[in-house]
Parts: sequence; C-alpha cells; structure tokens
Amino acid sequence: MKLSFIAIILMSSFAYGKTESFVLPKTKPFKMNISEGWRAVPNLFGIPLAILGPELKDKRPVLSVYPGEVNSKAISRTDLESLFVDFKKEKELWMQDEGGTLKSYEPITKVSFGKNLSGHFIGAEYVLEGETFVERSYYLYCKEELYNLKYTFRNDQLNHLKSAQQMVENFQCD
Amino acid sequence: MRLITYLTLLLLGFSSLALGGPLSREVEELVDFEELVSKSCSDRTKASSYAQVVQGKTLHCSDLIVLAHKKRTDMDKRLDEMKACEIAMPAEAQSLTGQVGKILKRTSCAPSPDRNQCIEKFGCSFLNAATAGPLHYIFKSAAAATGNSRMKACASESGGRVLSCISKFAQGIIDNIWGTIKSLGHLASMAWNKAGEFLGFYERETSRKNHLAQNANDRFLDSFLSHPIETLSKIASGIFNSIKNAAMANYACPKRLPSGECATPIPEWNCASCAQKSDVICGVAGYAMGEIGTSVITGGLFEGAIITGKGLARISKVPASKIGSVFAKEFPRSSELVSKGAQALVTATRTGLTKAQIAVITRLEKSAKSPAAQFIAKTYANESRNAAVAIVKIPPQAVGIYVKTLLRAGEFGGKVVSGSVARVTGVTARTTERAAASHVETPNTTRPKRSEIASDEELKVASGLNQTQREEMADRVLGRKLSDVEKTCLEKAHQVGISRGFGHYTRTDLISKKDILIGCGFNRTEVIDLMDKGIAGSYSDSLATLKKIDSYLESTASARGVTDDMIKAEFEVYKSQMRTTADNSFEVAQALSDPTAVAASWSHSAKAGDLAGVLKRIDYGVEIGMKPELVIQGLDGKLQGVIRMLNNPQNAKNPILLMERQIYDDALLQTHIKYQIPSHGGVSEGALKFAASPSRPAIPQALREKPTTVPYPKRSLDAPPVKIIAETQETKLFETILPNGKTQMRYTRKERNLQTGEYVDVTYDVPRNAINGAIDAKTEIGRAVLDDLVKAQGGNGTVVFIDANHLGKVNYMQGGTSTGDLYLESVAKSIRENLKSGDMIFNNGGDELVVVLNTKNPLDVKSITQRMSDAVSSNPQVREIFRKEVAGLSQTYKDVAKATRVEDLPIEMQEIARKDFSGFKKDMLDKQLKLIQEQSMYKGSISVGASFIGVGEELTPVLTRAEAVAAQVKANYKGKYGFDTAKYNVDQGAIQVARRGGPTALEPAPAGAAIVVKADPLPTPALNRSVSSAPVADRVIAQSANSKLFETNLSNGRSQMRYTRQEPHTSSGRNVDVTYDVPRNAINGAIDAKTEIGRAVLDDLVKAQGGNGTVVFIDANHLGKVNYMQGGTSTGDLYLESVAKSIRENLKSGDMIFNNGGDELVVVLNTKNPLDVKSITQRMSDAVSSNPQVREIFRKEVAGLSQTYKDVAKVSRIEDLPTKVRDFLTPELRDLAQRDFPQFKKSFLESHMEVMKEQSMYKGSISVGASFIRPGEELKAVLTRAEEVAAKVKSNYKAQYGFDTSKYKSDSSSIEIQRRGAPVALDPVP
Repeated sequence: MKLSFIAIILMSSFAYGKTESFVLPKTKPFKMNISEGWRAVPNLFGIPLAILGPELKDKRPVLSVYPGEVNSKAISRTDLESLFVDFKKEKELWMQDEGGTLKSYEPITKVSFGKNLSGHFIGAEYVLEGETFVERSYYLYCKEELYNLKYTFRNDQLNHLKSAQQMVENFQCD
Repeated sequence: MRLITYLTLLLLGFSSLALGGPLSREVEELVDFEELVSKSCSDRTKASSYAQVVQGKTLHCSDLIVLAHKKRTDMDKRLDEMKACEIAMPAEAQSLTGQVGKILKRTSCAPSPDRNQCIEKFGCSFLNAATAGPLHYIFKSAAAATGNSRMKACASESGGRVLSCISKFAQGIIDNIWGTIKSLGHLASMAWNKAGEFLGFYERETSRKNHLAQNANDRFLDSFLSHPIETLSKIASGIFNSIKNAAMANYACPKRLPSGECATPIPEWNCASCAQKSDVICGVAGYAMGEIGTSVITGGLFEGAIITGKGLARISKVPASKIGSVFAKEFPRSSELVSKGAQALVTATRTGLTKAQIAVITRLEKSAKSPAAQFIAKTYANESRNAAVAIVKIPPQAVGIYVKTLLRAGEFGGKVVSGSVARVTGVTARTTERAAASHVETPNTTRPKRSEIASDEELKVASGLNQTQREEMADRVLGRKLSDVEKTCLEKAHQVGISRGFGHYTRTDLISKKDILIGCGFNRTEVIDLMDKGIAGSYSDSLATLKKIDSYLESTASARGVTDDMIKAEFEVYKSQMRTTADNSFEVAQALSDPTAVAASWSHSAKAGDLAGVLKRIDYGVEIGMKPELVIQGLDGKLQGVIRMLNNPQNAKNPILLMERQIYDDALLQTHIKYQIPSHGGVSEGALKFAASPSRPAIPQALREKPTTVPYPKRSLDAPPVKIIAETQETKLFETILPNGKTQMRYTRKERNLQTGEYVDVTYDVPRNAINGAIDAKTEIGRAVLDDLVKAQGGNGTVVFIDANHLGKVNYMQGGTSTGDLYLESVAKSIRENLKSGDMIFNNGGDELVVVLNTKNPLDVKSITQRMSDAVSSNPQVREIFRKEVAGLSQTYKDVAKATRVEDLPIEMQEIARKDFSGFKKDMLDKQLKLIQEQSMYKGSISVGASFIGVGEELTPVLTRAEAVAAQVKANYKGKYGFDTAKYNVDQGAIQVARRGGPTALEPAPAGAAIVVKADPLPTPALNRSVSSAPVADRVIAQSANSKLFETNLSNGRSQMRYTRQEPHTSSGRNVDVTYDVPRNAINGAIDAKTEIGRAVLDDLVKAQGGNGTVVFIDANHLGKVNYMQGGTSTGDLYLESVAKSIRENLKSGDMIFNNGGDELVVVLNTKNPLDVKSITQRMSDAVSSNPQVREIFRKEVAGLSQTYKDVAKVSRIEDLPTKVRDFLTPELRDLAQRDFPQFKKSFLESHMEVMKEQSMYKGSISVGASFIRPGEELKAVLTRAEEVAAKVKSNYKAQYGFDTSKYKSDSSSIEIQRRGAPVALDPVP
C-alpha cells in the first residue's frame, strides 16, 4: 500500500518542448518553452499570448500570458501580497456573479523559479455550469518586469497541468 | 396602373423620399415594385410588347430592372453599414437560441410564449435579417414557389422585425467597441491608484478570457463563415454572465433612461417576449462579433487594456472627453478603431448611444490624424497592398508566396502566423461578401479559370467595339445567338457607367450591369463571360485586383475551400522550408518588378559565403516566373558593384568583398550555364574579368561544362573534408582524415566573435563516448550535432531511443561500473551491427543511446528496432554478464551452505558471523536465495522506441515521443516479470503482458507537427569566414613527452582546450602528432571524461601529477530522486549544474574538473597537502549543501507533497480528492476509497506522511573522497581509492538519516553517525 502511494506522488513526466521567442507590442521580448501538444497563439480573444493545450471535446486548457499588463513600477512585490489579501472574497464574489461555487483557493504565495524569475501566485478551484475548473495566476518578476501568467483547466484536462506548470517555471525574459 | 404609378414615383425621385423615410417602408415598396416587375417581365422573349410609356418615355423590362436595382443599391448601402446580412441563417438560429436560453437560466416569472413559437419567430427574424434588401425579394419568390407555409409566413413578416434584429446586432458590436474605449480611458485615468481594486477586476477578466479561449473556436473566422450561428453560440457560451447581463439589460430592454441605462430590465429569460428574446439573440451575436472584430482588427496592441479596462469601467465613471483625449494620446493605433467607429457612427444614432459615447467616437476620428496613427495606418495599408500585389503577379503554382507574404506582413506588425491566417481568411471573407452582394456567388458556381479570363489586350479590343460588333462577339463567346431582348440588355448593360469609361467603372456600375444581364435571362456563367471579356463592361481599377483574387481563389475550388487548403498546404510549406525560404519568397516576390532589388536580396547569402543559398534563390526566382535574363542582369549588376568597390584601394583586400565577388561570379557562371543564357560568349563580362584576375583561382572546367554544386568556400580547417555527412546553411558535419590516417568527424558552425561581433566559422571535433564509441550527445558539440542531424532529417528520418535495461543492477554486480561499462559497450555493439550507412548513433548519457535512422519507412523502422532488441538479448557478452552474476551468487550460497564454522565462510563474512554463526548462516542463506531468485530474473536487454521526425521538427519533441514509446516497451517488458512499472509514466492499462522473449518493439510514433518559431533576429554584422584570429600563443596546461594539453584561441574569440598526442599512422606506423578538441559536458561544462579524448586527458593529467597532485571523486547524492521530481531529468540536470558550479568555485588555478558520467565528477587538484585537500573537499561539500539553487530543488518537492497532504486531509469523499491523487489511484485504492473513504484517507495520509518524511530527509549534497596520486600511478588505481573514500562519506551521511547503506560496500561497523550538517569529508588516502 505504502509503495503505491509513493509511486503516485513521485511519478513525474518528462516534459519536453520547444523554446519560442515572442516579441509582443510594447513589451520586452521573452521566451517560453512550449510543451509538446501546446501551441502559442498571440492576440486571441484579447489575450496577448495564449498558449493552448491539446483539445478534448472542443475544449482545451489555456495558459495566458499578459506581459507588462500590470505595471511593475506601480506595484511592488510587497504590494502584490497586500493587494491580494481579499483574494478569496473577490473570487467568491465573482463566483456569485457567475452563478458558480468556489471549491478551494490558494492564497497569495511566494514562488521562485530561479535567479531571474520569482513572484507570487494565487489559485482557485471552482465549479461553473457543472464543470470544475482549476486556475492559477502567477505574477512573476523577470528582470524587473512583471508578467502575469494564468492557466485555466477543466477537470478532464488536468493531465496537462504539469506541462503548463513547467512552461510557467521555464519562462525566460530577454 | 400600379406599375405605372410606381414608375412615375421612381422617376420623380421617390428614392430620395424613401431614403429619408423608414427603411421598413422602403422594403415594402421595393418588394411590391419588384413583384410587379417580375409579373410584367415574366416573358422576356417579347420585350417590345411590355414597353410602358411613362411621362412620354418608353420603358422596357430592362429599364424597369435598372430602376429596381437602383432602389436596391440604396438599401444595400445602408444595410452594408450595419454589417448584418451575412451572419444569420435560419436553420442555425435555433442552435443559438438554445445556447442563449441555457445561459439565461430560467427561474420563476410570468410565462412567456411557447418556445417553439419563439424559435419559429427567431427563424423568421434571422431569415429576414439575412435576406434583407434585395435578397428578400428572392426569398419571397422562393417562399411562394415552394409553397412552404412557414417560409411564406416569415416572408410576410413586417420589416420591423428585420430592422430590430439588425439594429440589436449592430448595438452588440458597438457595445463591445464601446467597452474597449471605456476600458482604455479608465486604464489610463486610474493610473493605478486603485491598484487593489484593479487587480481584483483584472483577475476576473483574465479568467473570463481564459474561459473564452478554452473553446476551440479560435479559427473563428473560418468557422464563422461556414457556420455563423453555431460559431457565435459556442463563443457566447464561454462568455458567461457578462453576456447575460449585457443581453438582459441592453438588447432586450423595453425602455431606456436618458443616460442610456435600461429603465426596466427584464428580470429573467422566461419573462421576455419572443421579440425580446429575438433581440437578445441578435444582440448577443453582435456582441460576440464585436469581440471577434476587436481582437482581429486591433491587432493585439491593447487587448490587455481592453480586458482590464472593461472591468474597471464598471467601478468608476470617467468623463467621456477625458477618455477620448487619453485614448488619442496613448494609443496611436486608434486609427483602427476610428474606421470602425466611423462605420458604427451612422448606426449609433439609431441604437440609442448616448451623446457622450458618440462624442468619444468622434474624437477618435480626430486622433487618426496624429503622426503615429497615420504611420501605423500606412504601414498596414502597405502590407495589405504587398499581399495583393503578390497574389496578382504570381502564377498559380507559386501561391505560397501570397501566404508567405502575409506571414511576413503579420510578423512585421508584431504578429505571428495565426494573425496572418485571420487576415488571409479576412480577404476571403471580403471577397465572399462582395460576391454575395453582386449576386454571382453560389457555392456550386464554377468560375472561369484564370487562364480563361481575358487578357488586357482582349479587354482593350472589347472596349472599342460598336454595338453590332459587341453582339457578334457575345455570340462568339457564348456560343449561341442572342435574342432581341438579350441584345437590348447587352447594350443597356454596356451603357451603364460608360461616361466613366473603360477600366473606371464603379462598384455600383458593375453590379447594375450584372443585374441587367441577369434580369434579361443570361445565366450567371454567361454574365461572367460577358463581363470578363469586356463585352458588357469590365473591371474598375480597384475591383480588378479583387476580381483577380476571386478568380485565382475560385479557380482552385470554392472560395472557402481554397482558403482552407491554401492555409493548410502553405503552412506545411512554410514549416518545411522554414523561415529562410519564406524570406526568399517574400523578397523575390517583392522584387519581381525590380531586378536590381533581386540582387540586393541576395546580398545576405553572398555575405554569408553561401553560394548554394544564392543559387537557390536564383532558381526560386526563375521558378516563379522571373526571366533568367533579368536574373543575370541583377547578378551582373551586383558583381560589377562589388568589383567597383574592390577597385578602391582601401577595399582591395577586403576579405568579405573578395568572397562576395567569388560567389557572385560563380553564381553568374552557373546561372548562365543552367539557363543557357548566351552573353559575352557564355559568361558575363564581369565574370570573365574576375576569372582572369590573379587574385582568384581559375574557374574549374567542370563548372563551365555543367551546372553543379560548388563546394563551400575553403575554411581554415586542419584538414579538408573527405565526406560531407550533413549540411545546412549554418552548419556542416563532415569527416576528415587525421595525420595518423584515421578519420575524424568534425562539425563546423557559425559563431560570433566576442571581440568583433562578426560571425565566423568555427570547427570542432565531434567527441565520441569512450565506452561505446557513439557520438557523445552529452557534450556540447555532440548535442549540437544531434540537433542538426534531426533538423536535416526532418520529414525523412526517424529517431530511435534506446534504454539499456538494468544498468543500475549491473553497476552493482561484481566488477562494479567496469561491468556496467562492458554491458553498455556490448549493447552499443549489437545496435551498431543493425545500422546502415547514413544512420548515426549517439550516446545520451547513463543507460541511453539515440540512433538517427535515415529512413521513415514504418516497416523498416519496426524491423530495425526489433532486430536491435533481439541482438542485445542474444549478445553472448551481455548474457555472460548476467549469467556470471547469478553464478557468483550461487557459489556464495553454496559456500555458506556447506560452512560448518565461521572459518569456513568467505573471509568478508567471518567477522560479522562470529557473534552468532547459526543465525548468521540462516539469514545469509535466505538473503542469498532471494538475491539469486531476483537476479535470475534480470537479463540484458534494451527498451527501444522510435518516432518519425516531422518536417522542421527539433530534437526534443521527437525524442520525447521516442522515449515515451521506449517507456511503454519497458513497462510491457517489466510488467511481464512482475516488476513495478508505475515509475515509467505510461498507460498502465496499455501494458501488454508478453509471455516470453525480450522486449517487443512497438510501432514508431508518428511525426509531430513542427512549430513555427519566430527566430531571433539575424545578427547584422557581416559573416567573416576567411578571417582567422590573430595568432595567440597557446597556453600549455600540462605536457609530457608524448602529449600536450593546451588552450588556444578560436576565431570566435573564445578559448578552446586542445590535446595533442603522438599516435602511430595507420599505414606507415610512424608516430605523428594528432590534435583533438577536448570535449566539455553540455550540462556542467566540465571536461567530459566519458569521451575518448576527455578520458585520455584525465589519464595524462593524473600521470603528469604523479607524486604532486590529488584526485577527488565526487558523487552527487540523490540524483536518482531528483530525476523523479517535478521537472524530471531537467531538474536533475539543474542539480548537477549547480553542484558543479559550487565545486568549481572552490578550485584554484591548476585544478581541473571532469565529468565522470551520471552523478559523478572528478577533480584533479594541483596539491598534495593533506590539510589543503581535506579543507578543499569539505568546502566543496558545504558549498553544495548551502547552494540556494540546490536547496530550492529539494524544498520545492517537499512543499508539493505537503500541499497534497493538506488537500487530502480536508476532503471527505473521493470526488473531492485533488485530481493528481484521484486520477492516479490504483484500482485497489480506488475501490477502498469508494467503499470506505475514512479508512482510505487514514491510510493515505499515513503513507503520505511517510513519503513526506522521507523526502524531507533528502537534501542536495555530495559525497567527496580524495586520494593522493602516487608517482607513476595510473588513473584507475587512484580513482578507485578516492571512490572508496567517497562511498564511506556517503555511508556516514546516509546512516545519519537511517538510509539503507548496504549497497555502498563500506565497512558498516566504521560508519560514523553524524547528527547534522553536510557530509563530512574524510582525510585523503595516501
């Protein structure tokens, strides 16, 4: 029994991808390692850069990238922590507006993915129209620029969650 | 009489009256009028009998049709402004109804009309909207003809519903745009003062966008054109309640306040009337359309702002004037919105926009005059024009250029491929719309092929015809005699717009001509013929381009089909030929009318010294229609220019110019020959002059005789290539002959010189693995070679991933890693025996090999991989390794079994057995038996997986696929023997339990689609191939009688370690000096002692340091664990890199670090002072343990486990388990969780806690052992001693945490239990 649990937790896939460079208007160039099966689509439905995961039943997981959207000079790292103190409440209100329910949330949490990439994330799991969604929103500073990366997954897409996480962790700014 | 009344009204200017009146009245009037015309002119063979005299003027049917058409055109214009006609199709309307109904959830309220009734009304509404204007007449006729009662009912519905839908649709669009405008203003005005509030809304809106993008409808334009309502409904369903709110409060609002807000919003969907529901649907469609439009048109500059601002717009109000000024100031591309806003302005007045809203839109118009806005607008106009120019100038077979040009245009604007696709589709959309408006487009219409369209010459002739000639020509073109009515109509059609003259007709003129001809009974093909041949009119200038685009697109298939195919096909072309070819296409297409520009476009290739590149471009130019003479002209012009520059004494010896000159000359010569262009006796003047120049070698005779590929310009290599293995524009892999007569593989690539910034060719030896002789892909150069080879084989080759099973076990067999090495060597040998010429094998570190096969035949690949697998399993050497181990264990068992006293036992057991001989014997026998049973299950084998290399694909994805197949093979194989297969991360259900034999090869994975990567911009400095770096004295690192290790400077300004040793010549046997590059490990930068040369360097260095130096053996602890952490082997690589960095920081000049494979590093210290050595090794150990990067790797893993624990602890049923737990439960655990969740949870948490405890015990560290190098001693002996010390350190360290230490083979009784801190270094072994 114990071994089975160990196997569950330690199991890990080897994610490979291809590094792509992006030059979006009004932002510094950056690179992302796009996992296999995902594709980068700039300017989709108002998302400056949408990384779209494999399609299943006409749906696909989405990792959206908003470079420079939140002004890094106006909002410092410490600001971020204080600004999201009411995140849970805000998320609940949103759910209320949308007719959904918040299952769980991840409070603002510090992360560091290397020398040049660190910041915070917040996350939530919620149900909308009978579908469970998992999302996490990263506010990452890379060479003093603030990048917002957010992924949203349906329940049946979670097998690709690791790919999205790796893409976030391997984000590189020039 | 009625007819005459209408005619009179029309002639008296009814149309002007109608324009001012309500559109619904116009529609009714027109319908009535057209009905009458239709009845009056039903027999078109008797035109004269239906002549009517109105106010003294005789009008025939053709006149009536023209009049009716004018009326329709007026209405068309107005409907065009509303952009509504094309979106609605009745059959699909119901789908949207359902979707919107779903969004607008029903609750209790007053019952609304029956749903079916509504749907029918929606159908009518949409049908009427779709057929508003001239189409409505056709629709009504069709309704009458079919006798369908529903259609009739719909057709008779008042125009008011039509207008309602259109206006709500338009309002939806404007609302969306308005939201955009408001958002931008808000964004700027708030200036982050309400940052917290902002972030809350920002989060909402980005979540919403993510939901929107979750719908796989980003090919929306394409999808939209095919299934408009279905597409919109899918999109709408992703917009959640923002749609609902917008719909309920806006589109179905029965009464509005002066401010524009809804006075009495409808509380629920069920409360709405059919009309209101219909309005909602129309508004929703419009809103979604606005979303699409905003995204496409604004081009991504301020999408983010839109999102953020829309949220902000809800929380505070900003004066419209401020919004406008901020917008105008901050967003130069507002011109895009301006045009959209201007279009919407007309509609805005009808859709209840407030004055403030209109004021902002008006301000936007002004902002278009800003220099920035004008610049952007101009840029985009140019790009669009380029696209149009490209498509009309190129022959059909070169259609790729069109798409590529658009792609390039898209890149210019900061977009990538997808944006361009939308633009391509947009062109089609416009074309389709135009065609629909002019009544010539039906899905099944076969349009004339481009070749059948009249040439300009023919059109000129047609324009000069008199009426008789016109009729005769029409007879000829149509292949039949025209009737009198048709002749009259032809003349009338010809007369339309005649005052403007040939080639200057307006769109309205052309539509009128077509309508007249169609009204007179010509079928559509005939109308097209008459129009295209200029008999009844011709193109206007502006329409000519579109017309040709139409013809071009439609000559292949229907307009939509062509676009799909084009995009798909051309994407493939784009991907396969990669960016370079796209650039070629773009440049050549642009230069079609300017031959000198063609030459200019080649300058980059020439500067790169790439004759093949120049020739390729020339061929491409000719292929797409350039005359070879023009090509020669361009080339010669360029060559003359270069010669002129060389004539300047300052440039006379410029190596770049000299090289360019040679390349242009060769290209000129070859082009002359290839395209048989006689000029100056076969060779251009410039080429002849240059050929006679003493500075250039004579043109080879072979070149004069036949076109051939000219070899690369000579490089500064030690030896010339004897065989090119693979070659790209930037790199070359080749074999050369060394001074000792052996072949050496070398790799040349372009690198930037650190000092000059110029690009130079740098050539490296390709390192081979010392054990298996394969190219070592763990070295920097080996990996580059593998990368390049995969690129070169894209679409033609296969990558095979090979995992030597059980290497870990073998390394712990008798003989240790030497046995492991023997195993790997034998495996590689078996694999190599199954390769053919052109296949290449690479060592991929550890137990992995990678083969690149020169075939993509699935049967061949499967056969080869199965043969490899069988060959390894039956390799006698491999079998012997495993047999011997079992035999050894068996012997030990026998020895122990027959022992009757301690002294009879093998000597290494005696001390332990002395306390309790019988107990020890029993335990040992049990243990040995288990070991024998376990060991006998193992046998040498490989797990092989293959994957085809997609066109343009890079190594990583294809290797991942191959590795996944190999993992499945391994799981299948191991599953057969009951091994644990969970860690292979494969579909456990798919494990095939084979009954016997070695691993069974699986089908190769299919090739993946290449990703179009936006390449880094090409560096601007010219490439400099022939310039070698200034001679710098080599720095000798170590030297012996037969060898020298030294550093030299490369032409790229970097230093390269090289190793020269004496080797006997293969033929003469005479000793000669042979120099090799010293390979470095790609991960940690250490000299790679796993390669042949790296190992030789280490050997020599140890010899050289005999009596003076120390060997330090370093083992990075827990690498196996790290490789199974989040991030997999990438995390492992990061760990090793960090470890190496910490170690390197503790080295001094003269010390050298080597990668020894797996988790091992070896350092040769330039000291034999015991205190120094112990201090250094302890510092290394401490540095690794405190390395922040290393600590983070382990911390992160524990944090992840901890989070899982928390997540599980708070749930009370299986459905609430975190997915990463729930989805990976074994069937037994799942069963338990379903039956008895509390019990499951308890067990899980206990087990998980154990896992966490275990994981938290691990931390990054190294085990270090050192040993002095004795005089004359060789590497193996001193390394073994150092390794033993390291093993002891490791045992000490691990015992401290209660790990199993038995496998370290150190004396367990001497393990020192330490309580904390990093592993403690021990004294070096003397």
